[in-house]
Amino acid sequence: MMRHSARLLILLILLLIPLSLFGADECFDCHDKYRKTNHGKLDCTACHSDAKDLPHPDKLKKPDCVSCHGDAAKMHGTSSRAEKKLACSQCHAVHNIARGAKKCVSCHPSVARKGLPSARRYLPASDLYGLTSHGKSGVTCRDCHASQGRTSDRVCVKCHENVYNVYKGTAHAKGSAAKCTECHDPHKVKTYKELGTSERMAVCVRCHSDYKGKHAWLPHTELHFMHLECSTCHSPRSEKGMVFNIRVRTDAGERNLNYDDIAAAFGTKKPARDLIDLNMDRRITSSEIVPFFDRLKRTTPGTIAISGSIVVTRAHHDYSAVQKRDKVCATCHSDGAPFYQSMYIVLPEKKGFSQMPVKGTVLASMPSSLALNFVLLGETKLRFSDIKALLRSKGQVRQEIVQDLGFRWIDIIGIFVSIMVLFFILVHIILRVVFRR
Amino acid sequence: MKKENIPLHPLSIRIWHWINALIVLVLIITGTELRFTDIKIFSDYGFVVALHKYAGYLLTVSFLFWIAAYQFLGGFAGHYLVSIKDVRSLPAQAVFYLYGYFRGGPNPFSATAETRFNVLQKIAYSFIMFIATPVIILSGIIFGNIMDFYRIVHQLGGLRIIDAIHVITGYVFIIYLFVHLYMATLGKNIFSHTKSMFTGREP
Repeated sequence: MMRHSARLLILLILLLIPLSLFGADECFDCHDKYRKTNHGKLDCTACHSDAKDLPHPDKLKKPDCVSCHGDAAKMHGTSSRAEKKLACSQCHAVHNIARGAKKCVSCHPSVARKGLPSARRYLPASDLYGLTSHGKSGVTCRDCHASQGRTSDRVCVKCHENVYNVYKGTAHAKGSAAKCTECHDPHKVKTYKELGTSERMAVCVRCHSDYKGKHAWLPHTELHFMHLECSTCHSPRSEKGMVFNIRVRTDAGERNLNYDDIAAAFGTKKPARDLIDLNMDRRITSSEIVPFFDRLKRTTPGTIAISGSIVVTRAHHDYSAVQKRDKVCATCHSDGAPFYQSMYIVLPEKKGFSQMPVKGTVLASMPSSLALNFVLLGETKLRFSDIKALLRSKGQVRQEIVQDLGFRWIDIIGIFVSIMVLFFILVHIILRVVFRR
Repeated sequence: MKKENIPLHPLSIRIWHWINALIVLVLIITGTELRFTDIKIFSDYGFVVALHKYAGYLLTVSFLFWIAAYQFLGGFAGHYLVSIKDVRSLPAQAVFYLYGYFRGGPNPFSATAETRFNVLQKIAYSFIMFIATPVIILSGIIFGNIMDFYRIVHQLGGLRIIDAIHVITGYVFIIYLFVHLYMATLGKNIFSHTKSMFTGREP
């Protein structure tokens, strides 16, 4: 037995002799650029085992990565890349440590490339990935696509655990088994907050295509869908707000105001919020609205208008409770609707946008007269406290109350004239009684 | 012919008047609840919206019937159009209601089959029927079918402007109703005018 082992050892030594004839340093005589590799202290011949002698053959065999990286190979076998028979080196730079792993975008300039599993659902552009909320937060491709297999909700849970804990118990997660990524496109440049109502609706409509038929009971169906998103009603526990967007209407169509329009109007690169909120009190009054929009109107081609919508400002992912709340008009058509406590005007900034608190009545009424095409039935209610506040106020405060009352002045004057007429009738009745007529 | 035999209000107009009154009443009640959501006359807001909308369409039909009825009955101009003579009688008529009525003085105007209303009535009824009713009907039809009239809404300045016009006209109707109901008590006795709207003849 001992003799047998000794023979094997001698044979092994004999086999290694040619390899040991030259070391890594000799390789670098020709291949200096590979002096620092990703493979640390391994000799070149550890992978290029057929380079037994110098000069070695022109064409060496492809190294067998699997002999060391068996686990990675196992993972790779389940991935979409395996179907394409991609070699390890097509993604992993094994020689040049400076390059590290080959960038995903070098093969996936657009994640929407046909053939990829996500192409059907997502329309991202990876070269803009750095602008996405994930990109901005430093999330890399491999943070989510670690397994090389198709992503699952488990990937999202790593960071979005609280949201997922709410979502996993809902009808969406249980019934139709909708994954996070089927509603939220992680590659999209815009975050959900930045999406307009129509863009948000488009997310739901991909599955709920018959939404108009299902809402035939809703008066002014189309009008509602112009100013709402699905979650406004279908996520009762979400926080909602009334959001006013500045729109530019031209013969060519309609668009949102952008920062270039603001920069052109004011000739400065200051944030838009500082240009409108002159006294920096984080709320906008008509004395600030009027000069801001006057200047915009002078320089922006087209008509400036404000469109309002009621959107979710903080989403709650339980969409199952809707049946308890829907078809109750007064949920929104009442001055007690929660979104009246959260009204914002959206201002385009150099990067993204900012939101400034504003009262809808101030935007609509004189002297602003901007949001004139947005009105909610049941929103306007005059309260006795409004009149008391108006009568007790003075100076600038009174002026603000007068403007804040907006179209409620119709009610003030209407009710006042009605009372005066009734008073006159009462006097007439008294005189009739006195004169026995 | 005795005066009480003069048929003041034709049957078709009497029927129209009371049906129209009912429609206007429903519209005022539902309109008030639509505007002031705290006032819960009907608990279901959706029902109030629908009731207001369809009562509005009925008002449109009623208005068209009123025009058609006068085309058939004739005498429209004599009853509703304010003439120079009417304008001259205005001060005397106003003084009668404010002063002469209490002194027991005679009403300067006496209704006939050809000229049913005094100048103040003519002004009030003409304003209501020729201006207020068409305005509230048209603005109401726009509200009932906003998407069909979206371009017009834009041209008129936006939904808030249409809303303002509709609501202001609504207040005009309410104020008119107060005056109309009270003036109806100023006949020979409190109910004589009301009674004539059922019988067609002033007692």
